[in-house]
Amino acid sequence: MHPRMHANHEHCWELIPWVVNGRASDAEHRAVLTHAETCAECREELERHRLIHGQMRGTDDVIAAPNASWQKLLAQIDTQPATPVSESRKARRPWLIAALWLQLVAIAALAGALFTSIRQPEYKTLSTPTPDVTDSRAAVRVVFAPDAPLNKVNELLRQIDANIIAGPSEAGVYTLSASAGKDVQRIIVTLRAHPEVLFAEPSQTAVGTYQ
Amino acid sequence: MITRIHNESGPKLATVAKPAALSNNEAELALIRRVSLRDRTALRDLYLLYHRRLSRFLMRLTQRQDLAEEVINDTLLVVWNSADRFRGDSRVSTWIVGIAYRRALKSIRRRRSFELVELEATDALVGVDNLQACETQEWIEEALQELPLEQRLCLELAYVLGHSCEEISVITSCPVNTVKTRLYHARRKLSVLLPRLAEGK
Repeated sequence: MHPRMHANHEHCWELIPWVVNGRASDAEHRAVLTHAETCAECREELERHRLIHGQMRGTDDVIAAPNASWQKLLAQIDTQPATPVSESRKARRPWLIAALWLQLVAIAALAGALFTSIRQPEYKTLSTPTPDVTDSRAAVRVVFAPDAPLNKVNELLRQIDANIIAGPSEAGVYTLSASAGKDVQRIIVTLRAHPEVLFAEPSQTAVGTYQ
Repeated sequence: MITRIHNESGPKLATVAKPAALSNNEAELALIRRVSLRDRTALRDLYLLYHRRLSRFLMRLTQRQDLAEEVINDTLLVVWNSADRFRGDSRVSTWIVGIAYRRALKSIRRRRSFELVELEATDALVGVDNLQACETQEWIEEALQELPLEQRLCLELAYVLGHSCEEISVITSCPVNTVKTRLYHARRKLSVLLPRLAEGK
């Protein structure tokens, strides 16, 4: 047999029960009948299963009224514990709710532990106050250029009439004190205008004219 | 369509369901919803629909009216108790026949173990003469009896209840290919058995 014909034969042979019981599609039904016209094996199988199907289905006789069995079923329903399914479900619910709450608490505890265990990195910026400088004379915080020569720095400090009272901090910040009566804002303007100064701002203790 | 007969002793149930009604999944689904709300009238309607279908299927398998009735009642009791869990993932008929299938399988296996001794005792009495006296229906039944239970059940579900391959797969909780394989072996065996039995006739 040609392979293509063989494949068609296998397919039709497999479809025979569904043709017999009426569950094959119209196309499948037609294909099987057409194939069976020329295939003795499928024709014989089709006849055999039509006979089996007919015998198994039997006649569509009137079936005795199932009243006695129905009454028996009602009695079974009445004797079983009332609504066993719903009750068992209800019985399971408190456990389910408790379990959910427990799970929620556990998740919250884990999340809290995780949050506290992850410490924020301590970034230090130039504007970060220097905690160890508590000197009341602190007027200005300044950062000089890394390659600023010492004589230039000294010259600048003399110009603004200020002294270094702390520093450098980890961020390279120096804290300056100004002479009494000096305008801090003016000092800062002077510092910021100088090419050797990268950063200058009033110290937290210095607002307005330094006393 | 369902016909009911009433008399003094209360509602009597008579015959019964037309095939057209059985194919109406929507109507059956509505009955299931009512059953889930503990509506006994809806259960009675379902009972009438399925008693006819299942009794033919189960009578063929068990050969005993009382066992068939027992399985039907067990099936409808499961439907009553679990209708609220039916989500309509399959047809109602597939779901209910699936329950009946499992109940029947259990009942048949239990009965077979009981009757094994009895069969052994009477085996010598069953001979060729009996076989030769069989009518067409009987030799087909003889051949079907020779099939392994799972193979026979696939054939019964297809021919007696008219289910498709996919529906049988759901009812028996087996892959479609397993259903096809079971049917293949059943048919191969029948093609060997039936001519032999026919010749004997």
